[in-house]
Amino acid sequence: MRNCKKYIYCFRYLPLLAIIGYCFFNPALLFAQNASTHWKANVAKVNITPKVPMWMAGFASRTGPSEGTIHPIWSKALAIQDSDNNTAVLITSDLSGMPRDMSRRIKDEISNRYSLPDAAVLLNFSHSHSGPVLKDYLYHVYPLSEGEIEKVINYSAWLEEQMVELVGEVLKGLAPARIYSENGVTRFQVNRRNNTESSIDIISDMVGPNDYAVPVLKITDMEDNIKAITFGYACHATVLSVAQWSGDYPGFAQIELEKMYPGATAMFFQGAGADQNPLPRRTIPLARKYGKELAAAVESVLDEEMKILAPQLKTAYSEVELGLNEPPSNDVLEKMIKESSGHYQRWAKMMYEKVKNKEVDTSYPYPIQIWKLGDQFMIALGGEPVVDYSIKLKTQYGKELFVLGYSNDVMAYIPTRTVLNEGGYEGATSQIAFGHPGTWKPTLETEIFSRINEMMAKF
Amino acid sequence: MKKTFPRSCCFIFFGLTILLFSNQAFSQQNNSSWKAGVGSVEITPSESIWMGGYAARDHPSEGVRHSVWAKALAIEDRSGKLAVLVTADLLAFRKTLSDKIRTRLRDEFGLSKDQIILNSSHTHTGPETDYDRFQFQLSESESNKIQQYADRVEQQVVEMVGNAIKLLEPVTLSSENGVTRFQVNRRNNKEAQINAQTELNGPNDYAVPVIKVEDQKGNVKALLFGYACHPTVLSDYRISGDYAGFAQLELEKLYPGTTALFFQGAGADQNPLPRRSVPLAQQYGKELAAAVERVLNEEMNVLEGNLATAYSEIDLTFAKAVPTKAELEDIISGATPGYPDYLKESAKVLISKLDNGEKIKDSYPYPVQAWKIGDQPIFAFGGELLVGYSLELKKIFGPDIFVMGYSNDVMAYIPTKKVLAEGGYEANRSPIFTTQWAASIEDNIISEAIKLAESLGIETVEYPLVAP
Repeated sequence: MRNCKKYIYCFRYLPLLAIIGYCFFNPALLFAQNASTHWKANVAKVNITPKVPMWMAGFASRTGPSEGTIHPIWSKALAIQDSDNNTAVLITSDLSGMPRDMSRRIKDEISNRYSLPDAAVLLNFSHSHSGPVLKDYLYHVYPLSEGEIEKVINYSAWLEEQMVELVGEVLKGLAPARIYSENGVTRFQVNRRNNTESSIDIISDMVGPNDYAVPVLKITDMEDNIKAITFGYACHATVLSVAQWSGDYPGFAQIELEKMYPGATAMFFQGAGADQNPLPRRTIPLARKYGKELAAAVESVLDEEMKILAPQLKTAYSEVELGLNEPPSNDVLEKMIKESSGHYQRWAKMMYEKVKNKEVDTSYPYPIQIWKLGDQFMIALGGEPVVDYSIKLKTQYGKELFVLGYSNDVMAYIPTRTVLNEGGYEGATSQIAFGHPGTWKPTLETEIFSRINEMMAKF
Repeated sequence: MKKTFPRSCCFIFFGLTILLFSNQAFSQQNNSSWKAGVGSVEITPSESIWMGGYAARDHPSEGVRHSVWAKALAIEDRSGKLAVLVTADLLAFRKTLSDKIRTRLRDEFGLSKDQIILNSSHTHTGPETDYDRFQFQLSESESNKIQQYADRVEQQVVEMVGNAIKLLEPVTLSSENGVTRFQVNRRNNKEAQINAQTELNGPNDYAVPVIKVEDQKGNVKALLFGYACHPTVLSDYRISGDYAGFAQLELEKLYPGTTALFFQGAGADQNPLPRRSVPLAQQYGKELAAAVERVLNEEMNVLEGNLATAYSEIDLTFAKAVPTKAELEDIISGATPGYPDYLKESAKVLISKLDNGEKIKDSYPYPVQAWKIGDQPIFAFGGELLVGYSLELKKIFGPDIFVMGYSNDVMAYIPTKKVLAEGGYEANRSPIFTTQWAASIEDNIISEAIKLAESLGIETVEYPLVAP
């Protein structure tokens, strides 16, 4: 009986012991203890392949709407939250770009519904030239009928809602995570300004400048399962110019990585690839090859030790007003209306009307966004920045830096003053495709860098 | 107007008929004109062994990363003319081993030297096969292992070639060049700064030459592919085929049932950069495999069933007189400064030759070879061929040719005259370490290649008088 009592005595403390033991060994509670020292993250995606044949964005030379699909195109969202509940969402899309107004509407709606400020939402576009035309975006480049424009308007409204809802979805499932970063390397891009595409097969010495970096973010759960792979490259997604929907080489790279890492979502962001082309190009096997090369470079980074990022997030967003030169004289515009054709003629007519109605824009609000995850900086620039922006930023802020172009608003090529001075498509004539009155003022490079420096100083 | 319509119809019908018949004739011819047999044999050493490639290694191998292989592709044209290409995950087939193998292939299968190419991938994580070079440097048991291993490879390659010939069956052969760019010209770019460089200097040969061998059912039986780049991603102590090994593994996974054979091109001055990690070796292997896959997914040049082969050895001379025994002794003692330990070992080997009454020859018999498979020219050269050779030959014979280095004998680096004049590592590695090759080396080699090409009917490029 006495012994028995002793037993019972023991049992009296058992629940307490059990609770103490539980606290020590239960991973969920361990979590709770560490709640202030880890990231939360989630990833989601939505298929944005148009359901009807539509006009495709990127090439003025296409003569009809899409005919079928190589693979679906996607918008993907990565939400991250630091230990102080600072939250940000990166949205990458297999699209050529997006105009300011549409991006504004999406960001405003995200702000309304989920209270995320501009600085915390980063929209990046892969610059695939095998995606759809969007509303009020470079209409004059394409020979669009009323019917085609209506399809574009309907698709764009649907897309806006998809992207906003995607953010809602991704924010719902935030779960403890680890985030790592590192740069890899591959070299299928070619500086298209300084190498001749038609003789690419016999060139034995390619001319730069180039940025060969493959920036990679790895997002795992607390059991080290890879949930998301965010990776970039600075190179036009212009292997393909056929009439079928696809994400071009970034699409193939994402498919390959999602095959290699089941359960992971792979997201591609475009870098400062405005003057970089994947060469040789124009076949589906080449698009797949470049996709696989890029995926192999990402795999190599994932296989090696990556830098783990402390769960601290800081974001900043700013717009700098960049000056544009005046349009050509009315005489020149009239001559263009009479003598040119295609989108040059359509631009001249549009510009003639703007001059008449005094609606010519002489400056443009250029978006710059900076994120800092742990000690990893990401600088995201609007428009199509030439590779020198990336190279110069890395010279200044270190080669670990991630540089994104094609972010938030793709309004024009962004040449350096050297490229402006050299002229050509990226420096001059692309302004016609983007519907601007004239070239950028040659002060743009300094304006952009000064603003970045100001923003960086506050980090 | 009324009459024209049916008449044009008639023409179309007539044209279609011809097309139909000629197509049929064409495919019949393709199915019957070539035969091919494929062999492969694992040559992974069964025990720890000295590894080839880096003088800095101070002990033998420690384990295996993946198996290494010798592989053979035997092809026979419609007239019964036979040729065999052997590739291997080895640093080199040096003259001694190569001559032994080729003598036995002649004796046992009647193959002459022009019918055989022995190409080594130049992996720097493969076993050493050169007993001679290490005789004074290693313990007797280590150098015996090298000799035994070389004997084993000789036996295995000969048997494998025999098997490949036995397995000859009707096939279709197609060829084409692809492209990838993980190689970097190592003479003209600094490896330590590779991550900071925004422009890489050439010259480069980005080509990925591919031959596809399909059986009559259209199954890919063998994939022969090359690249001009040192397999030096890895420098550790585990046996592997480096990026070339990973590329072959990836292709054999992508195309089940196929044998993937890698040959080394003119990659003597090309390194895979950045390097020194297993993930990077795998990355480059996958990039190369993706380049081959793309070639297969596009239209390839179907080869007509005619095979022609030619081989010769030319005597390449040296810039300076060969060293005397006294000069070699001064090098070993350090009286003549500037020679690292591994070159002192080479001096000992030369002295032992002199002591045995042999002469140090003042020239070297350099192998030059050309094949024409259908209209696909292949040039194969001995030694560590610099990329300049490939580029010069492509200017003469067009961008579609295939160029192999590291074939039949790897005795030294083979610099162009430009590289000889510039100096540096690749310029100063002739078979006799005290002297460069003679400055005439490039002209002698290229004239021999032109001579062989002429004898096979390989055409030169006709550059247009007026730009098109």
